[in-house]
Amino acid sequence: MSGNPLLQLDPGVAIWTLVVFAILLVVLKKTAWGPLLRAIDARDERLRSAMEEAERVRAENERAAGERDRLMRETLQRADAIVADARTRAEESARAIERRARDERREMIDGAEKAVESMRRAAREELRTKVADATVELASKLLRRELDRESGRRVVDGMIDELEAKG
Amino acid sequence: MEGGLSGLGEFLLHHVADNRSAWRIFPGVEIPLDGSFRVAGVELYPSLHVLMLLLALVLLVALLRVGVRRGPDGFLPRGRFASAVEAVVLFVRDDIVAPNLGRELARKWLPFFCTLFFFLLALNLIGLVPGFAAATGNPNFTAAMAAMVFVVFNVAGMVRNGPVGYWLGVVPKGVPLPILFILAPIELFGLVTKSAALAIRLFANMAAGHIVLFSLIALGAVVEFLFGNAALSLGVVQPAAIVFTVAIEGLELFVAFLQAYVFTLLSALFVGAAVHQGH
Repeated sequence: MSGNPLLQLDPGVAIWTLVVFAILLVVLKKTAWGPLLRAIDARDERLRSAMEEAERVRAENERAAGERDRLMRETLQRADAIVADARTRAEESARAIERRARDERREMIDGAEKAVESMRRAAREELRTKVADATVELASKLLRRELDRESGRRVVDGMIDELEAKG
Repeated sequence: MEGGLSGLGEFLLHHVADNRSAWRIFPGVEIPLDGSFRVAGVELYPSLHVLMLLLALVLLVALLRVGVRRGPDGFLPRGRFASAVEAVVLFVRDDIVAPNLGRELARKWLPFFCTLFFFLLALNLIGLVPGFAAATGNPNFTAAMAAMVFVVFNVAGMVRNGPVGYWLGVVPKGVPLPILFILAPIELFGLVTKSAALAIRLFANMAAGHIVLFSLIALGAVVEFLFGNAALSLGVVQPAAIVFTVAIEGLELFVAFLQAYVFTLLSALFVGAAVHQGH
């Protein structure tokens, strides 16, 4: 072992190793790793907060979109309700107007029918009275004089003319 | 090469091993390292590998100062190098430390593991530059790092679970007493062996890689020594050897990252096991 230069025991090198490593550890911690790790931590923190912020904004947007949809839906429902209500009312008032018109028409027809009926009755009454009078008159004329056929026809014609003249 | 092939082997090993006489950057340029500085009998005068450690120290401090620059809003890294550094740090955090220690502890431990990873990676990469040496192929270096990791995970475990709780928790709960007598030494020994494995793995991988690289580079010299044919050596063998060397250098580049990753990952695993006992 002592013959191999690769395996020479050399405590000096070991001591130098430890001293150099200790110096490196102290110096690099101060000049390199400290600043670097702080910068990396700050960046990680910034990334994390940026991602959280983005997530928060996304959730907020989602909520706002939901709210908008809800409002839109409600508004549409209300509009539908208003239109349906208006239509119902319009239909109701149309039906009422129609009903009134029908009632009025019926009343007018009924009134006219009644008037016609009463006039017809009055006319019939008058006709009957006139016929009776004429019959009575004819009978009295027949009884009062003797007539030939010719004069008899003249009498009847005269009576009809008389009737017609009277109306 | 007067020592023959065994002399060649020694020559190769000396190129991979640490050097206390000089840093030969390339033929003709060398920096002498022949001083001596002893404290309590321990030679502390910088060897070649210690110079590499100091070079890594300076490079890391300078480069990472640039590597952590941010853009005007502090939100993104500035430049490609800073982006790459951040990607590696995030990889260490999310794929090495956090899975073993949990998210909260990971934040606290990240400077340690980032330093560990970048230190090993820098030393591995420096070792791949021609003229420079791989300190991670030195067992003294890897043993020191592994011992440091051993201390770190045991202390972390004791801080987290209490000194008594930690050492009791090293052995799984609900084990019958007779088996406990066998299991307790095994578990305690395991703490040491897994740290030792850490040291051996890094050393062996890096040293082996560099031995392969130097062997390929030396192939022409070997052929010339064996057959005494300079034309064959320079005309055929050496060009082919250079192509192979470049290919292995590419593989070693991957190994440099892989071994830094493996060492860091296993350290995180050990610390995690010590901190979250019973998982």
